[in-house]
Amino acid sequence: MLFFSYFKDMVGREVTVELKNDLAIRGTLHSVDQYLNIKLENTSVVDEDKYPHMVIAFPFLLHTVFAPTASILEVGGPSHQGSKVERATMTWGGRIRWEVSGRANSELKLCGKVGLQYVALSVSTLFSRSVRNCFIRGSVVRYVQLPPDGVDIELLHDATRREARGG
Amino acid sequence: MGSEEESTVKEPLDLIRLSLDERIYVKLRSDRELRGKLHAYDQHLNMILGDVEEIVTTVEIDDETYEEIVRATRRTIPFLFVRGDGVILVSPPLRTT
Repeated sequence: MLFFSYFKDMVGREVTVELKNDLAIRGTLHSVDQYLNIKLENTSVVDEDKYPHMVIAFPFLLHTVFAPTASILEVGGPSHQGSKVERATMTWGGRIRWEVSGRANSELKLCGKVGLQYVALSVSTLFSRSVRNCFIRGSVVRYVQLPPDGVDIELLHDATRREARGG
Repeated sequence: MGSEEESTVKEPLDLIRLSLDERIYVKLRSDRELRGKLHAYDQHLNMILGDVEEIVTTVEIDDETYEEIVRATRRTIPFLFVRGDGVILVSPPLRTT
C-alpha cells in the first residue's frame, strides 16, 4: 500500500516510466491503482529514433519546395526555413523518407528539376501527434523516474518503517 | 517496541530495514545493477532509491574474432522507483563492526 499511496500523491506530476522492453515513456501521471498500473497523459517516447513505430503520425500534403541536389539539403519551405535534411537520396518520381531537425517526419517526392543545383520536391509532412494518453500494466514496469522535488525523504522513511511493522 | 527489536535481524527483510537511508547495491534481472540510497521499500522489494547509479552490462560478440566484448553502460538518476519483480539481490552497505 506504501507505493500505491505514494503514487497517488504524485498524480499530476511529470514522470518517466521505463518498461521491461527498454521503452521509456514520459508523461503526466493521471492515475494509479493497487497493482501499480499507471495511466499517463501527454505522453512522449523518450528515445523516438529507437522506437519510430511508437510515434503515431498522420500525413498531409504541405507544399512544393526547391532543394539543392547535394546529399544534405536545405529546404526553403515556409514551415521548414533552414531545416536540415539528412541522408537524402532520391530517384525521379521516387518517394523518400527524410527528417527535418524538428520533430516532423516527412516524405518527399521528386517532381521536377530546376537547373543543376536545385530540384523541386513535393513535401508531405507526417506530423507526430504529441498529445496521447496511455495505460501501462504495472507488471511491465521496470523503473519510474521521479521528479527530484517529488520525494519527501522523511515521510518515506516513516511510511516504510510503519509498513515493515506490518501496519 | 524497544530499540532491541528495532535492531535485531529475525527475518530477511529486517536486513533491508536496517539499510534504510543507507547506500545499497541492488542486482536486477537483464544484467542491471543499481547503487543508491534506500528511501523506501515494501514486501515485494519495490523500492525508491536516491542518487542512483545504474550499470547495464552488455556482451557483444565480435563478428570476426568471436571475442566477447563486455560493455558497461552507466547513468545516474536522481530518484528512481524500482519495481520489485526485477530484483535478484539486495546487499546492505559494508559494515566495519
